[in-house]
Amino acid sequence: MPRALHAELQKAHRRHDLAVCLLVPLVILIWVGYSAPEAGSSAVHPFSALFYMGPTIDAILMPIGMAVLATRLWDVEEKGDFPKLLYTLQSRRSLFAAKAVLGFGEVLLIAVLETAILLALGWWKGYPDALPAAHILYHFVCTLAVCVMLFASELLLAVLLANPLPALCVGVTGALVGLFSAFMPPIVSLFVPWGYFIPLSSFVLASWDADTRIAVYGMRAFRPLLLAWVVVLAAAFFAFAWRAVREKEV
Amino acid sequence: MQTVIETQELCKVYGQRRAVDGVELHVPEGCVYGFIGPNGAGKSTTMKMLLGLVHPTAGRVCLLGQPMTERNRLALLRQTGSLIESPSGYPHLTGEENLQVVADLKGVPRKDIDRVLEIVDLAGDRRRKVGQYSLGMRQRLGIAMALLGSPRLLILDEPTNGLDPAGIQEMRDLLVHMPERTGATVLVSSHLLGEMEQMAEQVGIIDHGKMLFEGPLQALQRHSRGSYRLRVLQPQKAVPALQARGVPAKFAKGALTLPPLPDAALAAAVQAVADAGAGVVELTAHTRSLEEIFLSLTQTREVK
Amino acid sequence: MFLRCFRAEDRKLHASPIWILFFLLPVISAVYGTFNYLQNLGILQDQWYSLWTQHTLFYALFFYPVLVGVYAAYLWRLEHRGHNWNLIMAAPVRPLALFLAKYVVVLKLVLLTQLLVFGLYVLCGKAFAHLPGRPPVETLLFLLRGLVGGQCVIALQLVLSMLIRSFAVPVFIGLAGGVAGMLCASKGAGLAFPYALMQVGMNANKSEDLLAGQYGGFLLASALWLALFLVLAHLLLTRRDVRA
Repeated sequence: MPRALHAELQKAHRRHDLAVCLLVPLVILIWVGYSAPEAGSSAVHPFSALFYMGPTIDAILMPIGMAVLATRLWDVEEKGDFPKLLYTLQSRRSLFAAKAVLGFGEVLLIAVLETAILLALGWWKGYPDALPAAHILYHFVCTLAVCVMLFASELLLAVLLANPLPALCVGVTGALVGLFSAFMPPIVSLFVPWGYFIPLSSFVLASWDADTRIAVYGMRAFRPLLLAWVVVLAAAFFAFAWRAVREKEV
Repeated sequence: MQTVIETQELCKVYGQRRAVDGVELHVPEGCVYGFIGPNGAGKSTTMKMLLGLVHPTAGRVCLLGQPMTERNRLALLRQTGSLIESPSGYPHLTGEENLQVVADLKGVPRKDIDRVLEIVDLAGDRRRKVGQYSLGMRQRLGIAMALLGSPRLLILDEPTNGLDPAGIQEMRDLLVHMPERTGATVLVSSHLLGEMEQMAEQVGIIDHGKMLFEGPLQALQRHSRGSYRLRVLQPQKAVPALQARGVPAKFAKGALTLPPLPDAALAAAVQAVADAGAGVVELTAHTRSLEEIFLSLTQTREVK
Repeated sequence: MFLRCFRAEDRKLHASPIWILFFLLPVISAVYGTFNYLQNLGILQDQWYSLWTQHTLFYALFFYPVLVGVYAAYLWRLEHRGHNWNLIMAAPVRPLALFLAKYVVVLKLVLLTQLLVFGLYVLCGKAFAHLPGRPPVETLLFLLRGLVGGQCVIALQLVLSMLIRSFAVPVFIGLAGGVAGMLCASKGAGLAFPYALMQVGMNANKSEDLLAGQYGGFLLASALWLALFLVLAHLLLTRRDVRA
């Protein structure tokens, strides 16, 4: 496996994977940066407001972002016509494992940056309210879990279809459906995996007064069951992708 | 002599189509084996089964003296080099970087990269991205990848594809001398029958998934004797003499054409023509080229 | 010459899987938009105008530029695979004619998409939302304005897909552009940024006309950005050595 991982890192050379991994958090930074409320403005608990915004933004950006990462990870082999050579040099298991590890690393980087950006922005704007560490950690874990699940589903599509177009289209459609599910009755959002960022989030808009235009943000309980379901989905997608790599005839 | 590759009743069925039907290959050690067949004959599929890229529907593959199983497959393949169908190459990496990836996976030291680059004459282009390579350069890179680690067995599918005449000759020289230089065995498939004739010692001819012939090239040529061309001063005296001996001769373009004959019968026939006073001037044997043999074999599907 | 190119590019789209996305995104937008409208009748009281914003808000902000990105990436993908670049550059056509042919094909696709969005809007308005009368003519105007604003984004995405060999990355850049355009428009700089032009044109955010009195600036900005991208495309196609 270390040998296979080393080979994956070599293939990533000059593919500017890091740039793509940084592009997603950059867009988040700009978006949240512009939209973040000022301290002492009409948003009560602005730090919560920030973490409330995060999941909605994630629901738009991440499905497509994960599609980009996953398709690039697998497509490199198709472009180089390498599978038939690779399968004589290494086991299919080590190839898949190495790609899964590299992919997870990229997703982890994005999730870490996402949470870090939210924290940094809040600190920079001087928000008065402090968030309990447990909620921040929960936010990070949920973001990571959903991103990994999306990544795995896209990887499965990329391997099965050997063509990035369908995987990307699923990502685009998923982002649209996920975004809309936020505005539907809460029960709907449980059935839309691409938008799971939102029902998982522990930050809510507690109340909004149309007259005073004051928005109060708050927190709610964690949802461990839903989180567990996301992890199960992620594992299932990875398992199916692993099987697809194993069975693929060259 | 040990066989490096041996297959028993190898079959591959896709739906209704039998792509490979009971193929029995025997590739002796240290030879250049030419695997010949028309398009769609099952060459690539067979070679993929030899490498374990495709699972056989039936039959067995023995590589380097051992039956190939999932367990020992990679260990066996570590001693082989292969190039199947189109050459592999990541377009965004340089030729050298591509070889580094393959060398690292094979467990071959990086120094070997310099050696193979010299052999395929790509040393000057090693730092260019493969995306900028010409077809011939990509082909040579693919062969370089197969040569890494000096493998005991080389399995090459149309290695001269895309090469210019100079490149083809270099490739031929490289492959022909490989057994004596490194002790490797080379299995080559090609359409270029003229090249095969100069390269291969053993041949296997496949068509529609079935092996039509396997054995030394000379045996094949011997099996399929060509006709003879006899030029005489007075054909009108020669023809009756030949007919008397039961040799049907045709006269065309100023010479007689005799059918294939065993040596003794040929000598007697020429003697008879000379005795008849026809004046023997020239006797040439028209040895059938591999191409003619191949075409007649694949059209009639039997070994004469 | 151009006509030949156009026909060739157009043919590439026949029987391509792009059509699925072409239908799917507007239909999903329409379904959700109508549902959302019906759920919030208390707040959304501008009838046809409100329905319009519900149908087109997220579409115009994010998925319109993404769709353009996908169309553009798809048309260039076939050149990037294999060595088609050589084939194209050696063909007896001016490289810019080639680019323009792609541009027109995507323009046609986007027009059809916009018409589909409009068609669904009218259908949902009458059949599900039971809105009286006819939709305001302005909505059709918004739609066409969206096309006029979006045509420079078409050129930009084509340039991006030409430069970047990956299929997916320019699509994400399109999304990022949509986000940036949304932020620009909200800060009042809506005419300055190509992605903002398409959003402002479609008027998806508000019920009042965003462009009232600014048509001159809008058209000028749109034309200038298009000219810039075409010049860029021409330079890139003629100066760079073809890297197959």
